[in-house]
Amino acid sequence: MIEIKKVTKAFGSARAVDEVSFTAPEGAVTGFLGPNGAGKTTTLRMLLGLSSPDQGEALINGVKYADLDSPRRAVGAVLDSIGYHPGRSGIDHLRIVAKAAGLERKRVGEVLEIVELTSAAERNVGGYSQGMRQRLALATALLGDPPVLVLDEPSNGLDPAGMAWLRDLIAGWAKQGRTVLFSSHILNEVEMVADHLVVINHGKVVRETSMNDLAGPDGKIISGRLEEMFFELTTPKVQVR
Amino acid sequence: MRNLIAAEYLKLRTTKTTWALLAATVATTGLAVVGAILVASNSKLNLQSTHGIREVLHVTASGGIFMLVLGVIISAGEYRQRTATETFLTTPRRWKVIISKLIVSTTTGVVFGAISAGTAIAVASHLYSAKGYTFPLGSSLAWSILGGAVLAAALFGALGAATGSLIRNQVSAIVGWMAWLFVIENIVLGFSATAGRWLPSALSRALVRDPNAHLLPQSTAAIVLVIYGVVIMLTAVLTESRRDA
Ligand SMILES: Nc1ncnc2c1ncn2[C@@H]1O[C@H](COP(=O)(O)OP(=O)(O)OP(=O)(O)O)[C@@H](O)[C@H]1O
Ligand SMILES: [Mg+2]
Repeated sequence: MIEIKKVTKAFGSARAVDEVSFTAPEGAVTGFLGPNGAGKTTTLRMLLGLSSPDQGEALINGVKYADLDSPRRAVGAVLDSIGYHPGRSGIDHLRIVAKAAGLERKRVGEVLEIVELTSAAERNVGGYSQGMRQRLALATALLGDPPVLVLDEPSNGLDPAGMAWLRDLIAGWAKQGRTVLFSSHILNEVEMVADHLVVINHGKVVRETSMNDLAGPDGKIISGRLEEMFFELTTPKVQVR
Repeated sequence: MRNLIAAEYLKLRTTKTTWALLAATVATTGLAVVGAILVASNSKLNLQSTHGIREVLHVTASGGIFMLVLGVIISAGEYRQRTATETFLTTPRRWKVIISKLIVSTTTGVVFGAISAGTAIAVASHLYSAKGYTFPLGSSLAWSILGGAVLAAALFGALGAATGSLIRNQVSAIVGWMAWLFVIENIVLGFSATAGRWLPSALSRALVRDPNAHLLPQSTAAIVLVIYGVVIMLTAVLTESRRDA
């Protein structure tokens, strides 16, 4: 379970994240939505110990990221800010993380299989496409077989087949009882895979709800309902004269 | 920490830059020894005299600059390639990363320094015998200079890694060091030779007992360089705890 408790972060005088609180439960996929600059990445970076909140705290199964015994075994993360040495092969990148985290070496081959990158593993990352890099980031996140996954726009750069594959993967993780928190701008994708929903705008949570609330009487999500709600929550009201 | 250090070595082995800088170190050392022997014999210096040996062997440290560069790359390179995020996700306690990098850079400096010393011995023995001398491989003077060269490379590696952690910007850190070693130190030296002796470039020359200047004793030089490294490292650790990755 992920708990964000009244987390605030300002850059200069502007509050990028303003007393944000929400929970991402176990065994469920939580979609984290909001317009560009809403504060999603900033929130996730604080959750992952990459930057420190001015106030509040972010907990993973009750513990701050920096206090986790073995972070790679507890949390898998995919972030935009992750880069690779262009002259290093994908498999060497994974070996380095596995070594530093004290994980079994054979896990490297397993995660390469999961993200379908085995055939390109020996090639230098400098020659990877954006989608391949994204797969490598996912493979790295999975190295420790973590019960919690934090993904910032994980479908970035994936082709349509890749996106469908990722959706199945995410849904599968939740079924196994893992906690999945992921941000996305692709509402379709969120509609298909999320169980729980958090929307933020200008650094504040404007809605936390279950996806069931977007379902019709038959229990199916009404197509387009999410988009409608998103715009309602995030578009400034036009003044009528 | 042991896993972390092993991972840092793996990072080093899997980048071509490491091998390129090692090759540059060997080439620079070899050429410097050849040059020193040519100059010494042209000026009719006895190559087997104390002065002759110091003149020839002190250049063993001329590749030290490459170890300094590698040290900076070991730390600041993570920001340049944006690999720092994954590193800190694995090890959120950043001081552990800084210390591991310092250890890896210092021990790599020992290896670079030992290879430089080997190169100097090989080149010098060859040229000595070509000129009808025997290279004094058994002399304690030769070994104190070669040992000083190993120490200089190790400490330059430490200084590089510590400044790379502090400054984070690889290009600035390297350019800054070059400016310091080749320009600023000479200016200070021009004003006060006594003050100049306490600065990094002069200290590394003291470690290899450069006969061309009035320098500090080897042991003092080593201690002062260690202090510089520790101070920069502690500053980096303190700064790092207060900034975002
Ligand atoms: N390091 C930083 N320094 C200054 N401002 C920052 C920094 N990081 C983020 N911000 C600001 O904080 C706000 C929130 O940014 P953030 O990246 O969290 O948004 P986001 O919701 O992830 O947006 P996007 O959908 O575009 O990824 C923005 O106004 C951004 O300019
Ligand atoms: Mg973002």
